[in-house]
Amino acid sequence: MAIVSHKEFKAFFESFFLPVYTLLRRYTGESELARDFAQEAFTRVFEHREEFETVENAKAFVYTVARNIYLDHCKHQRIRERYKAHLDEEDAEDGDFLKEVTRQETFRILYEAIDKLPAQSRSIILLNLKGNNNSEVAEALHISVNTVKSLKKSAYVALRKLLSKDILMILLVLMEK
Amino acid sequence: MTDLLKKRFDVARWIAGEIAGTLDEGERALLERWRQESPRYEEEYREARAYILSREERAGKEMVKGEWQRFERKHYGRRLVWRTVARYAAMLVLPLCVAGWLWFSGDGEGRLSRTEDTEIVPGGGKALLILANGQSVELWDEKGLQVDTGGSVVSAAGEKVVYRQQADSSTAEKYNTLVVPRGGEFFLELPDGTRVWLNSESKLHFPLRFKGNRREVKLEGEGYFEVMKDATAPFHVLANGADLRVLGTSFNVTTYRGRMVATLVEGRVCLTYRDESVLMLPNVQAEVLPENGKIVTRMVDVKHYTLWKDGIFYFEGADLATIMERLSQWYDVNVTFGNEELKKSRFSVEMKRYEHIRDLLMKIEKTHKVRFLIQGREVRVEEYREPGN
Repeated sequence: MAIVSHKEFKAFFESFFLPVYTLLRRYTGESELARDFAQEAFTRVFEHREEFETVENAKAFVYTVARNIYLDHCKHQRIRERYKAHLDEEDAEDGDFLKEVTRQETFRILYEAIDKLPAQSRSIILLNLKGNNNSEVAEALHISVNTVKSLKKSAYVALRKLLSKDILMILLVLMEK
Repeated sequence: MTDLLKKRFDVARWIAGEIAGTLDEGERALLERWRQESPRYEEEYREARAYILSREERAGKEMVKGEWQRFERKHYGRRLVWRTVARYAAMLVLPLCVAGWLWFSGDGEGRLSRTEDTEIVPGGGKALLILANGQSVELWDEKGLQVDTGGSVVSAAGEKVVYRQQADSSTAEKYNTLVVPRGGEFFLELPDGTRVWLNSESKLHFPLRFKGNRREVKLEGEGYFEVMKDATAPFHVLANGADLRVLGTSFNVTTYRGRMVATLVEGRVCLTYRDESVLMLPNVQAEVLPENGKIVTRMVDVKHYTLWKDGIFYFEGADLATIMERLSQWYDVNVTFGNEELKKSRFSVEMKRYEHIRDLLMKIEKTHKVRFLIQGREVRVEEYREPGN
């Protein structure tokens, strides 16, 4: 499992660009700057792409590098205070950064799994997440409540499988074959 | 930090599973235990859940697509494996050519008529940089160079030149000219971050620093521009008397054979020639007709006009005169035609720019319309004749 080939790297990029960008956007408050920093972070991953033993390592690397790029920028701009405001004073391990990573990862993992579902099941799960109950979902999609129930059942089976491991990892394993 | 991060990757998967309703008992217990370790973790958990439910799930997909294209162009566009191989091969061959003529024995492949064949190699990164003080520097593949031209630092490595704008110190405007000869191509990054790919037989005249509210360069030949956005300072390309005014966009400009053709890939540009002006949109090509001062526009498939910068020759229904002109620029050969009619026949060909010229000519010969005779650096185009006639 690696991210060396063009195809593998593309899959990695497509999975992680958005979370890394969103994290940087929250830090910088500017979308254009965040995009450039995220590009820079992926460039670093690209330069080291042959050194990662697992995708998990690459993933930890890209988040860490993104944060460092932002910190360097702050140092450069002498606006370190702005970043410090994000930090808990006694928090040496940078809880804010970890908190942001948890959010972004949760979002990414959940929606990457949901995206893999067939269209109908996907709509049902999304409506469910928004707080709609079965009869509301049935009405919105013009199907019977029983259909909703049975589609949900199979969607859960699929989701359970998809969420048991990181999808990207599954994808990359499949690519190697 | 890495271990802390990896813990979060697990936590994120559990929370995602919990939201989706697929978490099993074992995982639920692990998540529970983590939350109880610290009130901060509990807060982190709550915030992550709230975040998921509040955020629009579709957001950002289009952006990622665009950003990947940008990334791919930068890191894969010109660095594919075949290209590196071809380039190293070319580098090995070039010095041999200089030392003496390299004779080519027929390998029997194809029916391309060949007598004594000087090795014709594809072009590569080479250019001549003329500095503001009149001094000129030759730029070659793999040659590192740093010049402080007063105000800006130039660093050239391999086949590109990068300008970095320094703190304001300067007096009069200074201009550099980058000259790309036949058989060359070059990539240049201007002080404002605008990227320019220059094709063979092209010249770009540009200031060491852009000042005020106007960025201006002059182009002869062909260039592909990715202009850095700056709404306060429009970017102007002057080419063959025409003025292209842009804000931030990608487009191709060529002035070969006395024409001026602009092809827009992204954004908006305003093209002005004498009294005429047109606003161009993506996929529009505009050509200036100097004879009557008019500008004509047409819709085109932009990749036909921009693939050269990714190392590909692409012709679709192009006349042979055009094809041979482009080949002569890249491979540095002279082309002559047996008769004028031959120039008008049309062909569609796609080929990597770093392959041997014979490969491309053979593809055209397969149509049985024309044949090519290569002698030294001369290529002669003749009418096709059945073998033995």
